[in-house]
Amino acid sequence: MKLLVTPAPHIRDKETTQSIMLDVVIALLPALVASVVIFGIRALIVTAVCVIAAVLSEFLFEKGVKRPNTIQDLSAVVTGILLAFCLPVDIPLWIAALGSVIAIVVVKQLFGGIGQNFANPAATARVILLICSFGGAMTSWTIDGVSVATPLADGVIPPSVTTLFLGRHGGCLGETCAAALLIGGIYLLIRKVISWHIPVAYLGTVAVVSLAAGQDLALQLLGGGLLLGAFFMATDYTTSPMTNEGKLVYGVGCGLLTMMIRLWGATPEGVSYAILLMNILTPHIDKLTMHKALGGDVK
Amino acid sequence: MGMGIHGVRLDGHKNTVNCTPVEMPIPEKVCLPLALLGANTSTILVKKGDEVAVGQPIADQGKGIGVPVYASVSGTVAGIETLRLTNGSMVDAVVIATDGKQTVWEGVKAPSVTDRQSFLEAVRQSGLVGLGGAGFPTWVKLNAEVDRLIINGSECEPFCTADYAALRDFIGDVSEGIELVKKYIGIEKAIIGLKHPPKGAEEAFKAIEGAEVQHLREYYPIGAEKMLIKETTGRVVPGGKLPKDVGCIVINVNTLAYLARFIRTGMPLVMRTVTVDGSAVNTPCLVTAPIGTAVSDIFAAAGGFKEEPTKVLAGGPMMGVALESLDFPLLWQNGSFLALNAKDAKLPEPGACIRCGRCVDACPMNLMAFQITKAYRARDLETLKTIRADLCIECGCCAYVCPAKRDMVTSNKLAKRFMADEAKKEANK
Repeated sequence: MKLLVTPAPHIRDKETTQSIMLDVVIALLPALVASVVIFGIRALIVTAVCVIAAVLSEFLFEKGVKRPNTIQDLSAVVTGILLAFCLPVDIPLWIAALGSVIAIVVVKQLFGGIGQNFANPAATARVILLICSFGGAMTSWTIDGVSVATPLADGVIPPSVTTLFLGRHGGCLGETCAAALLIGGIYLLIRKVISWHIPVAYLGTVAVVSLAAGQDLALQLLGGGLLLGAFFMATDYTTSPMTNEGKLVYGVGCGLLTMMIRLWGATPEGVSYAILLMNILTPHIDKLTMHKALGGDVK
Repeated sequence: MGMGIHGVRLDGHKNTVNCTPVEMPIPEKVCLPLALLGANTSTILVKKGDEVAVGQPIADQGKGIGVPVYASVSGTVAGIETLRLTNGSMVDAVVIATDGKQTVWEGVKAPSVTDRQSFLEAVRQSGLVGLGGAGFPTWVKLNAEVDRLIINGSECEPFCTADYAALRDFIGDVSEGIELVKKYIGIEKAIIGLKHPPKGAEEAFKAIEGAEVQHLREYYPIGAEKMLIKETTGRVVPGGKLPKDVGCIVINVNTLAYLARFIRTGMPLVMRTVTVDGSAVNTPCLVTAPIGTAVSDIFAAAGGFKEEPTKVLAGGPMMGVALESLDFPLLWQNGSFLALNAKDAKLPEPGACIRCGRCVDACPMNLMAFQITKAYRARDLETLKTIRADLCIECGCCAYVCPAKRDMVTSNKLAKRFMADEAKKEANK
């Protein structure tokens, strides 16, 4: 009888990279449904274009460089949805597709693929689109074809808290419905896909700074891309710290940078920039918050 | 006690807790290897054709920390063979063709124990090694000045129930073992760590002077020596040190039971009870077998296979080793044999690390597990030293939780060996 010899452990938890990414996709569905209700069927088209472009570019790039195919891990699907959620509903579809290609090829694959990128692909692609010449197309918000401003812009009368919760206001297509994003975020917490550290530190810091600066708390928390960023983008495993202590530091950093940009910056919103900057600091935070081994202080 | 719950929660699969051990028929032959820990200094005392009886020494204790080896059956020495242990080392093994009579050797008699020295000598002569899985000579462990005796009744590996059976069927022996060690080694306090003890165990332990029962938290690897010490005393064993350096001896319940029996009767450990379970067996059960019995004979006595096993483990699924052949003998420290079908035997394909941090959260030693792999690949000795890769206890929690299914334990083991080799090179300079 021939026996298989493998190293221990001989049992493994059932969670896989794919099951984790599937959970993220599920958590994003309420916001997707909300975006279709708020912005119309074009929200779904933009999302589909982003997802298809992301998956296709991952598939083709990996084939081109003869890397093992990883599209079945669903991480490219997550990137596609997240990028779409950061775009206005009227974005030309080719720009949306280009964003996905940048996210997957430039930000993710050129750095080695899943787990190797130093910055969040969706957030980085959004920032690249913003600072390229597509700035106008990236920040013109409409609902039912009528042009509206993001509630965070100067001089705009802030919508009611109910409107902020339900999301019928200007903004990127996946970021406006706070209720849907909270449902998704809580789902991720319950499924233990994310821990509370980053969202709580991030949202808490924004809340504290808002109050200290005399800002409208509900508007700051719910009016921009904060919930999408705090639950879905800042919590990206690859680009956030490994330890819980590090996650707290990182969350506070995201919150401070977001508020600095919102209060003093040239743009009304700062979530993607803040996350991107903290992504770059992640290796340093990891180093500073490294765990001390049990009994490791005696040589 | 201490900082948060590291480690993992596992399904117990304790399918055999209500089983009465099946005493198997004496097998046709047994194979008794020398030098469990790979340092073979014993001299074999018998030669091919010699008649041996149960409890008769067949190899002396050798040098260093060695212990003697005893015949577990009566019969004729069929030869001396070379056996490859699961750690890869090759050792001599005495093969005995049994006569089925189980005649007891006339030299078996209770040792005379009057003080610490004679007690330690008796424990050495008993040949006893840690029955919880590590197989470290018990007399070496007991030869220490400590103030805490910690009794390990956690049995935290899934499926394994041999320790539970000892607590259920031989609680008197376990208690006697505790009293003997307390008395002769001079330890004022004993802490008995239990998870789901059988009825009556707690009461029996409470009757021992200076002993207290502590219910252990429900996580793996609570039974790992360093975890158990921290859980029961709050003490942390410094890296590179032993439990005795923080005033503790940790000993398994089965080891104590056999110790008490030896002191009482002089009969060394010749039979033990093992859990037989896994998806490929017909009937999960407990089997009592002579040491050295081939694993195939044990499975046969347990009711055979439901389907052909693809993988057979000695030990539990977290730290057990996969055997390359069913001819391998039952060793003193084996508490279970698990036969897995093709579905359970197959490990998932590893993917890229996604930096999720689950391994960091799960590591009971608080190590940054993902970094060990990376540093080892680069043969980065400095980083390995900084992150204390040498302290990995190989419990398997990191690999268990890894969603990318990475084989972190193997790279940790390789990293530890690399560090040890480099340290040796450094010392030889």
